Amino acid sequence: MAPTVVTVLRVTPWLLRCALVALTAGTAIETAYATDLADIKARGKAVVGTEAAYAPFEFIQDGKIVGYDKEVLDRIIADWGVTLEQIDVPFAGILAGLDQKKFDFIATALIMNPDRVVKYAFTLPVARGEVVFAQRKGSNKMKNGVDDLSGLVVGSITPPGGTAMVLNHHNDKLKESGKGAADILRFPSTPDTFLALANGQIDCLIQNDLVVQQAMQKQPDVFEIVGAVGDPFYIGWASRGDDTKLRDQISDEIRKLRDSGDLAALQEKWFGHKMAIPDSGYLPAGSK
Amino acid sequence: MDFDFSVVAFGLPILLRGLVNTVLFCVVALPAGLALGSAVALLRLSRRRIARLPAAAFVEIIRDTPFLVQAFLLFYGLPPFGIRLSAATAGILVLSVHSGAYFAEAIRGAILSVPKGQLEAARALGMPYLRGMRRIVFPQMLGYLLPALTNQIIGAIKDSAVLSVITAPELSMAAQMVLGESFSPVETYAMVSVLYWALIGAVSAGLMRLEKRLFRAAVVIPRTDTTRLPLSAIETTAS
Amino acid sequence: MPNSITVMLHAAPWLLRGAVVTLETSLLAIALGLPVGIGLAIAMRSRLRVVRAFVRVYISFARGTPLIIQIMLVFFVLPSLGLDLPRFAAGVLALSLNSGAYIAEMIRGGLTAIPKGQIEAARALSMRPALMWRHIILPQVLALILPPLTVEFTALLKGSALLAVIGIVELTRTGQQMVATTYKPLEIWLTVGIFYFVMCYALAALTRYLERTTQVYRTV
Repeated sequence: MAPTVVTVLRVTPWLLRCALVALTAGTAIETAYATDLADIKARGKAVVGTEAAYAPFEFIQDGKIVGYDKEVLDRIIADWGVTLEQIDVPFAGILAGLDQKKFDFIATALIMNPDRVVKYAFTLPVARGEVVFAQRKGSNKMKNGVDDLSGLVVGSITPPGGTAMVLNHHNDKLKESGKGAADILRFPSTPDTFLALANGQIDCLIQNDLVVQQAMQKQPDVFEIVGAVGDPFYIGWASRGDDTKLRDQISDEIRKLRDSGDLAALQEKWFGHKMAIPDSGYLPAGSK
Repeated sequence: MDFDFSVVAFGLPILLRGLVNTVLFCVVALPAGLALGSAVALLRLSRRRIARLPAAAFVEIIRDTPFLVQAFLLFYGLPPFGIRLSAATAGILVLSVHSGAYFAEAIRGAILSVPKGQLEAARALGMPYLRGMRRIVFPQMLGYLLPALTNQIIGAIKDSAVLSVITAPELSMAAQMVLGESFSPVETYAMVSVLYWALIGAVSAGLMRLEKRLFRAAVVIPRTDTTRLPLSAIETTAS
Repeated sequence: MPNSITVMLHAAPWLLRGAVVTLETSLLAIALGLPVGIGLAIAMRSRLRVVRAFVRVYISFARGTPLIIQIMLVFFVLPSLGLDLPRFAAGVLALSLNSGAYIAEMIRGGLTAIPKGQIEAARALSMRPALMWRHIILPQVLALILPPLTVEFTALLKGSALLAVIGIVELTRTGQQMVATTYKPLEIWLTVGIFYFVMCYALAALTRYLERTTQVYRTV
């Protein structure tokens, strides 16, 4: 017994030292947060936040983050001549993480809805899509279309997910005429919603149509789109509200990719069609 | 760092509704867990292996896997077999089963601390096993049981926070909602922690008073052989 | 059925990687939790009421709020108060701060087993409190609480599952990623459960062995 105790006691300071080193090493990796490209280039590395659970924009395959946004990001990073450190954060934490300066900016598909654009600086769009409702193929739960949710269990991701906010507004409007949803389940991530829909735990879900198309490709004959809600919207990345300079620099890069045709090629690859990305007018009034 | 009280004004009603749900979940799940735990404890004390081993396996499996994984299994794993539970039902179920396993150990430890001679004497007088348990052992074991039980009940309340991950509409999920609309983690989590702290504090204080009242007149009989309670009986869902 | 087994076998290597991260976080957490617990236990006996009150409040908070909330607090709220840590460090810190409170209580219980006579003798020899702690009290107490410490380590292994919510890619988060790609929740979560069970059962066996070999009179 005594030798064991002595060993434990002798090992403890060493363990503490290891722990301290590990923690400080971890902290050292993410040093000063960058407010513009000059800072990033000076550091030699860009720290980017992503929620890698949103195929085909960003998702995990074989342990790595891949997807449309990732390829666009790779090209931008290569053009800047820095290395990339991409952090996969659950969506509930990604906007808060941006505020906390845990990353320089976030490269994850974000809908430019009115609540968000006043708080964060959105880049030039990288894609365009619609918010749609989807149900199990042949289940006919949404027989009255997207404007009647009565008796239905609807699934979405937790706020501040863009589609969740759209659902909230839509449902609030419907409740006035008595057509509100029976229940809304809020899942931590998008794959959970598709799983729940396939499992029959929810009757329908609300999501970006590009993401639904991808899910329909991966799992044929399971899902079908019921219809769109609201107008088509633009999807882009974001930096902190105050970092408009960085945002502009990122937008410049996206514009370069668009003008060279690279962006359209990637869109063909990941979505199957090209999208028109405008130069302006894509942000609602009052945005940063 | 300034504290934005408007978030409190906006968020507190939502959080309080979530708190009510948390309490409801526990009020349903905990008695169920106690019932399950008592049954499992008695099975573990049985002389027959066919009763003991499955019960022991059940307890070991539940205690050696995280609550979150059990919740995922119950909520996402069953539907392919046609069993579709709502988030609330699944949450209450996994909470009952999980705390049931821990209750079983606490109850078993408490029963074991009552001197064996008591039950033996009862049986020698012709009393059936279960009646002996109920009338002789049970009242004596309560004194040992209540502190361990308090720990488990508190553990269950803390576990309920994890249920937000399977969309159960309790306090932590309410926090996510408030966070999503306010973008203010400091104020939101400050409120949420205070609410849980207050709930657990109140429950713990209440149970301690109950303990004092029940055992006010209890005479502590000194023992010659201090029972070595198995440590496993004291282990809690310390999460 | 054979399809299920294939899914589980295919997922196993990835889950193993996640399990390694789980072990890393838990080991670091207990390594840091020990000094926190020791510090708290010593502070509990301070002559200053403020210090004692702080310790009581700290332990009450750590034991009276859910671990998942504490993890969120360290990751989302601490940065606003000045301490911005990367995910892994934040997760480990949350776990160690939580562990420290429980370890402090264990030490408090263990202290009662130290014969008073030893302390009196030390005082009679004018030993500084620091020396007393280092050479007399702590060695005995730490040996005493070895079994509960392994129990605490088991709790950390299970608690580390909650680190998935802040994105640390340990066993549970890896499981979530696998479910998202395979759409086979039952197989994946069963496999994840098996990994945790193997780790925790081994630890429980270690606890039982330590209890037997240390053979201490337990009043607590």
